[in-house]
Amino acid sequence: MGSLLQLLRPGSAPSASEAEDREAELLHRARGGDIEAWSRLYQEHFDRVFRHLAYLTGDTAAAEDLVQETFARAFVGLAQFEGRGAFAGWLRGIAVNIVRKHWRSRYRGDQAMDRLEVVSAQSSVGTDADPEGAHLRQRRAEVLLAVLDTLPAQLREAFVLCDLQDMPAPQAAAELGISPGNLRVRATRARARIRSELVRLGWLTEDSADKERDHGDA
Amino acid sequence: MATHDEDGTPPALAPFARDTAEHLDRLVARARPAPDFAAMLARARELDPAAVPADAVARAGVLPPVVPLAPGHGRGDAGALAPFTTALKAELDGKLAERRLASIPPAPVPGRRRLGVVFGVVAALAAAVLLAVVGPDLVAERAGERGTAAALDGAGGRHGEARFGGTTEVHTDGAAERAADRNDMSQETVTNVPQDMPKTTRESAPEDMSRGTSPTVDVPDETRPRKALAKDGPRRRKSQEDAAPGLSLEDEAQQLWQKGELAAAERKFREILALPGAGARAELAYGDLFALTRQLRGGDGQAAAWREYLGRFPAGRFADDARAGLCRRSPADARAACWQDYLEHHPTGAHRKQADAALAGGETP
Repeated sequence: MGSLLQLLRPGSAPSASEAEDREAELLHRARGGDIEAWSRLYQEHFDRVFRHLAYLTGDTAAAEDLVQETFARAFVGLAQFEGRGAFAGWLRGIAVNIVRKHWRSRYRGDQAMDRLEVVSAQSSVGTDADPEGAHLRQRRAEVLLAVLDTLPAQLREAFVLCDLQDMPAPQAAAELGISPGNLRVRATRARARIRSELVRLGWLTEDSADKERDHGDA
Repeated sequence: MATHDEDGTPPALAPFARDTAEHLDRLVARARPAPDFAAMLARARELDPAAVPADAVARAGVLPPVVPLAPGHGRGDAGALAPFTTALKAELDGKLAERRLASIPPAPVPGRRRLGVVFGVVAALAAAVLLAVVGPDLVAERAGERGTAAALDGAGGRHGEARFGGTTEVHTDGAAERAADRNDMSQETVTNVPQDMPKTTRESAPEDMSRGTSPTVDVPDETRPRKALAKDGPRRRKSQEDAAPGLSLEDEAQQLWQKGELAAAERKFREILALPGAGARAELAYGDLFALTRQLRGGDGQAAAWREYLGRFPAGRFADDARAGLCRRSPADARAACWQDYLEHHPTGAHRKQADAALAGGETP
């Protein structure tokens, strides 16, 4: 039985430092031109970067294209990665830049507003709806995504990282290349803009907005 | 005073944020795009030709979207699993010895010893359950590390397994498939134990992608993992005495390959192809031949192997990659037709984006 107890004893899982060491080794080899090492890094980080992009764009089809662009740019810029932070964070930072370009290339403010009106009209608030119903949850998600689409990029990405991805402020600030204080300002502005849009569209009442504003100012 | 963290999501927005995050997670789970390393690298070369040599793109072009494990991958895992596998092996060896003694009429045992036997049986059952749970993963991990055809020979016909360039990766997607794997493992508990798992330190199969660039941890031959007796499917149901001597054709081919005797290794793999009823083994042998023929005869040789494979396994596990590889190698004037044919065969294939791009005129090199 002793060996079975040994089998079941916890604590043999690879440590975080082992994983970091392995990644550092892969990075070292990738910098030296080892394609296989780079392919391994690509494979290991692909899903996380894709998810990050899907959150930033709200569009998995766009994310599918942008994830390739992110890794391609990371590959050619690998020498710039100094290894002071996490490689995953560095990749996400590149992803943010790629998304900014993507937004610049496709953003048309009036179109985004039109889309918001359509989405909101299709998504009736439904006072008698089950508040936790799947339909309502789906509509809320669609409306918020449409509202996000109307925001300036810097407000949108602050909201996505802080409020949708629940990223700690220092990490989110680092990935956006701004100070934590600046991030806080952007996130607050984003929330105010979103709230005001949701009030305008009838998804929130003035009361709730005022109440929160009071709380925020208190 | 604020009722919520000033930096956090306001309560009125919280349901929207939560629902949106869940919605996006569902979309992400549904989308699950296939990584395409070759296409990404081609794009990197477009961005900076100096940073990405053309030969790197060409080499990556023959890689599948799911790339082989890098040398060194899993060393930490194997090390971490060492106490488990060692203990499990000891446990199972003990049970095997018990079973061998089972034909001897048992001497009367005092109550305390009987209790020990009961504990032993419980231990054996627990070990079998544990092996059923972790066994497939151990085999998959080990196969990925060692990259040998024989490592998964018994499971060679399973859907979802892919081997490339002398390495193997296993994807057991479905629950039923996994259950089947577990059944296999539990039925063949003793002989399927990956005995040498903790010793594995490098991929043993030559991999042309890493030649000359990858610092590999070389180990002397005598410390390289030996194949468990059960690896060779047809043999593993025979008695231990029958299975003990000799190497499988896959073993021999891999050893020759490791020694650099490429032509001899190819002949061995082709012996496997010629075996009657060697469907799954033949497919896996082709997986090695793709890399081996490239080493021997360059891209043309590899393309010939792809064609040969497609002739024999038009809907085989490597068909997607083989067709895509042929399209990448095809002359410019025939490439569009090739990609069209690819899409007809693999409308949801891993290389469909490249096919679409090629047909739209925006092909990457």
